[in-house]
Amino acid sequence: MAETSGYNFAYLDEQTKRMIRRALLKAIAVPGYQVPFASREMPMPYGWGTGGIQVTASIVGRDDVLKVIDQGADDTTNAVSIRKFFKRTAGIETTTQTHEANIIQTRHRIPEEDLRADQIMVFQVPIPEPLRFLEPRETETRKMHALEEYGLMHVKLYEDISQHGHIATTYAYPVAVKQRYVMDPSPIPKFDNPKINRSPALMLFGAGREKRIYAVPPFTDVHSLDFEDFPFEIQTWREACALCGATGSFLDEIVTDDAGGRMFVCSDTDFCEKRREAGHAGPALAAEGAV
Amino acid sequence: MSGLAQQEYFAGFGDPVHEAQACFRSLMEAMSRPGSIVEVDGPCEVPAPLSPVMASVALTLCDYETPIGLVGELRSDAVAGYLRFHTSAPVVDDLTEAAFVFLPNVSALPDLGTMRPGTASYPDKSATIVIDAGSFGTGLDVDLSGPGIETHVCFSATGLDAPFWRHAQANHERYPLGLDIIFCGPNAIAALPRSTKIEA
Amino acid sequence: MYVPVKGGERAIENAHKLLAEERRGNRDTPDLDVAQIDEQLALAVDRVMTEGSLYDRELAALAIKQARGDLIEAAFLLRAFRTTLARFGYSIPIDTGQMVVRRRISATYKDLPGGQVLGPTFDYTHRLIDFSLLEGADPENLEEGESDMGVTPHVLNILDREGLMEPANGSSGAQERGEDGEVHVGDLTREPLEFPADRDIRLQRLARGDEGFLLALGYSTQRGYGRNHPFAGELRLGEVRVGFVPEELGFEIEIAEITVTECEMVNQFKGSKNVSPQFTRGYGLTFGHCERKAMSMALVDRALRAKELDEEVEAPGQDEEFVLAHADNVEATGFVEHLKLPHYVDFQSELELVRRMRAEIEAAKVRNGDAEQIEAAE
Repeated sequence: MAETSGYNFAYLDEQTKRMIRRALLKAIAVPGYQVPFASREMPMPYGWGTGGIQVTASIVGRDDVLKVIDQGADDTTNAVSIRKFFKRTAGIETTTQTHEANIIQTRHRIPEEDLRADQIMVFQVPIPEPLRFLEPRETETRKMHALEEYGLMHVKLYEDISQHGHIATTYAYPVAVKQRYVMDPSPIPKFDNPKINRSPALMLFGAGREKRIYAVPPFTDVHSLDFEDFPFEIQTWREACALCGATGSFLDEIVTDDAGGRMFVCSDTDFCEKRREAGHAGPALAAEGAV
Repeated sequence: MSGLAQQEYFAGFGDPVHEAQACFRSLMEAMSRPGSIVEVDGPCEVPAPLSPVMASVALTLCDYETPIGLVGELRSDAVAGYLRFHTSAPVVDDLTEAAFVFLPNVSALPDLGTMRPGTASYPDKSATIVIDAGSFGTGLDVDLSGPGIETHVCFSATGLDAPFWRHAQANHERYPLGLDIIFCGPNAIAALPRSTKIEA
Repeated sequence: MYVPVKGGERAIENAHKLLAEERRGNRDTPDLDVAQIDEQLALAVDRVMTEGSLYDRELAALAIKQARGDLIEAAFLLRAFRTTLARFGYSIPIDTGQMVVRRRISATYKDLPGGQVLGPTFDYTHRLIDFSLLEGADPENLEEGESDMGVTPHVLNILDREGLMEPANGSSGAQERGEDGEVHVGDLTREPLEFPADRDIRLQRLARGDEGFLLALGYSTQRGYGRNHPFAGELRLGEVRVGFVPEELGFEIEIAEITVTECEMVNQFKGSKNVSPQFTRGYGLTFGHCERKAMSMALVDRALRAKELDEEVEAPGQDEEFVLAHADNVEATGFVEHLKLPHYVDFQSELELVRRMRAEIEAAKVRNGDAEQIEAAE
């Protein structure tokens, strides 16, 4: 598709890109620390991924291949819309296949397929401050990060355990990066947290409305907060994916009727399709094949 | 340092948008994988002793929001004029004000205390040092580890001697405060963020 | 068989077509002219320019048309356009003392130099629906009045002369000054907001802030949540010139004449250890005619000066972080409305946990029940 005339390559002007690029380098130099940046108003609303879009626009080049997912799916409306935005403003190639992409912008998921060193993940972040729900004031949370004072977070997690028998955080589960900064991995399910730890891919996080950028370089220790007697664990399902039969992937629950009927399918649509192409079949497809 | 009037004109990027993007990706690659050597092209002609790769780094990252410091032989009218013209960055004498400090070689390294390391609340408000490092793979070998490095990386470059590495390790020990360093070679760069641990 | 949902692109295209259709409405009704919006819905245009932070009546009117009258959406359109504009520099501060006044009132003096000028105001209208407007009735022609009022001095300067008023730049006086001795004014659109913020940044944030939010906060300060005894020292509406010094010329040229509304509140101040009792200021300024906004802004500006004036910070309107973090309606609407986007992955995570915890509680009940039965049997 042709580039939209009248706008710079990838929409942002060069001065804005430079400002974001400088913030990205500092973010990489101090993993997990949130760098304030002068986020711009984008032609889509705050909350629609303006942070991720500004990061992608600042790093993307003509030869990049971009994949955009929302909830793990390439076909969700906002993922479609963001992909189209970059096709229009940068004229770049896009893909739905994880292995073909070298920049993957995401909201709420990390692909199931192992990432490579030549890939960059860009996360859309709503509230970058992991301590925000415990302490609404930026002046206070900034002090806590400076003093490495994370007692409040541990108290909160421990209260969960004493009240519910579980840590009641299931997504945006806080992590400690390189044993220094506590970081919000964005609202990915905690299922995806282990994928950040020592990943060969660079991970960049952009929060447009809150005007923060942060990063996890490759091969960085990222530890999901836990306790010796209550170690971190990820979600598991008793079911396999109804379409591809996968058992180790994150599953979405699909309500099939009004009478309690439901099935579970992979949230990562590309992963699921690949498995089906390779001949795997889950219960729903297997049953159909038998007819 | 006077204006451009009687100076020779040197061009910047031929294709500013895409050349800056390419250079930035190399910088990001280098910063996220400390010690690895990443290729960078530069403008064909730049005023000596600025190297083309250094010029590329400056044109990619600097503008009117980033005061720059020039040290040693780089403190020339030609270099300052070139950088001012192409980036609009103010050239400052006081290094504590500089967001980027450019050095012609390691021996010109000023006391690290003269450059800003950021604050406990804002460690990002720290200077980035850009050093012309001659060439990579020559000189004293050190062992790098930390974020961005799978296990260890062996690194060396012209002029990076034991005293330099002692300073660099002291810089690392202030983490999360500290300076971040970009080494410029003939056609490549390497980076040493403050997060990298250095062992002889 | 279940088929995963596809066709996001087509769905979006269809949604855009439907929206365009709804915007146009019945084609038997004439299409709205942007000039009509500019002229006849002028206060909507003023609000959109103010909150959209861009003085361009035609564009603001167009944005209102495109947004189907949703003023926050229209302000957002203007903001998104504004960020793409090249920046040539900063204008010279406008001088509202030189304003050509169309409306000017003071609640603190019965009469004063320049006089009380009601101008175009709803203030003393009876709020009776005017059915003649249904027929498109034109108003009576205006008689030529005495139009040139000359320059009207600021009311607060009268108090100032007596030493009863704090200086205009506030008691803080600790504004950053550059080498040339000029006060450095921050730019909210080029630097991220940091706390504590200086008054320049606070005022910028309030000027762009949502009228409804500031109205509610200003109101709360009147009702005792951070009470600061305000008087409307002066409210003025009129035209001011905008000057600019181009680098290459080196002297000032006039680049525009704009309409602004300015409000200066006078607030009681008991004095502190170092300062004798005097009156303090709250300041509000908007593009166009936005009186309610200018007054609310002045109330909130004064409330936010609590810390600087050694007042106790105890109410929402005095809480800088609370006010500044939530004043922007483009940010607020984005985050509230983003809840419409799919969140099913996170919801699935919650479902899984809630189901597991309920199962554990049920299992525990069963175990306890068994134990009780055994006990009872013993």
